[in-house]
Amino acid sequence: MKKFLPLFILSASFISLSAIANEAITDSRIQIKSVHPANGRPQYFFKASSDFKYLGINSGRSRREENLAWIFDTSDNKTYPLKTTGLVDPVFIPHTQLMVISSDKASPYNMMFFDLENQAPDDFIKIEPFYVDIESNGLYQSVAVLEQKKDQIEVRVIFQASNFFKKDYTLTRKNNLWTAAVKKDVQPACSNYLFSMGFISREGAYIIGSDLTNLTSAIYRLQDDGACEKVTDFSYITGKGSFSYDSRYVAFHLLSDKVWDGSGFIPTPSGGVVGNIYVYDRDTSRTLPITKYTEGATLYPDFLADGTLVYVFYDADGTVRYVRLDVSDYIK
Amino acid sequence: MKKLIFVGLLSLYQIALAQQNKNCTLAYSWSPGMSYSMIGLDDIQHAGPFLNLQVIYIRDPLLKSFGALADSQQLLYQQSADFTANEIQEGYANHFPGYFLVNQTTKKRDLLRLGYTSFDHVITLLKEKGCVL
Repeated sequence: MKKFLPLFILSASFISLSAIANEAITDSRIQIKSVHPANGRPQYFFKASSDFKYLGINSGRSRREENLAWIFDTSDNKTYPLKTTGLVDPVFIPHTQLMVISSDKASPYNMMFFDLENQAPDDFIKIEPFYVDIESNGLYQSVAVLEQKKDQIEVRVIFQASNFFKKDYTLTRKNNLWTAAVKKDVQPACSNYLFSMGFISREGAYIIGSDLTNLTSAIYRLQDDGACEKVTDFSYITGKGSFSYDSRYVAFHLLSDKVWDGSGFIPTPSGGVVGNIYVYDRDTSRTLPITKYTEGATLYPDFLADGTLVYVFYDADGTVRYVRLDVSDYIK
Repeated sequence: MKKLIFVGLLSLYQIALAQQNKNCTLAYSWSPGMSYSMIGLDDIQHAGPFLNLQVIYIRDPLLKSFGALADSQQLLYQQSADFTANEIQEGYANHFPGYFLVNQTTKKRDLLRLGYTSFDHVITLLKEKGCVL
């Protein structure tokens, strides 16, 4: 019997992958790379490290409770706690396993920088931030890498307060220890526009946000002086956007009672609302449907450095999985 | 006795505020799947009553997908219909939380802000819209 167990597990995995693919993927050129059960503490929003080793997950609790973020390790599908003074939106610095977490607590704990490199996940709970910026006070932060050398990275963090702000840092590694210093102090970002939920592209040139004047989502080009030029206007508000590493594509989710059927959008069988993933191509101005779930929800897609895409899938039966897709043949 | 005086003064203060309030109604969209929206919910439930602010709560339309969340976060195992079809189509349900001002005449919900903001800022936004709080 034991002899057949691996085969059974393999075929069970295959059935699971096939079922997800058949039900949900819009085009045969999209390949499922892996599926990970979200054990522990699934939340809607997460962000992946560039190499997909880790996913940063919100605490999911109120500020009156514990001060933890969670790190999902895709190699063992386990979730490990990280002690912070902020509960939410742990994001990775592109091409690294360094994280930036904003605090929802009062000063002096604000933008915190953590180093997960060379750390065992069981020890994450003991990690102290290698830098805490007590001057920055905001949330919904996202990070771009402006320049990267072997032991030095210039990063730009944008974050939301009354409006959006940007701040540049120099991170330096010496004897395997990271330190940080402010390179360019805080400045308004896109102060000529009013938007929320802004996310910066990996190299720092673009921001996607929800335009609060026109009530649509838009892509802005961020200029050196902090002003922005709107370059793309959607006709609806998208979920939080994630730029591909070359900034050509933006992935996002949309909730709707309609679903793509291969040629157009039709009502869901139940009439209920579902969440599905889309990719906008900045070069062709086309929006491509990636998933076509008719129940449950796929949310918060995030591009990885190799061009694959990961999202969280809430199945109608209550199970939650992270799914990684290779969409390159479909969207190119 | 001091407690009674405090409660009495607080009531008078609330009555005074209620008389000043131009009956603005705040609609607040939230989801147990989004941490900041839970924090905003705390803010409004704790601070809102002191301003006599009328609040309509709009729940995540995907709520039936929450089987894996802790019991304390479980809601009815059916989809919420608090958002209108138009609001979903416009994309308001793609973010939590959302703050809306309810138009007293049309009952339409006008978006003030998407994403968490402090309760003080919510009050500022309401005042900018002519609400006296």
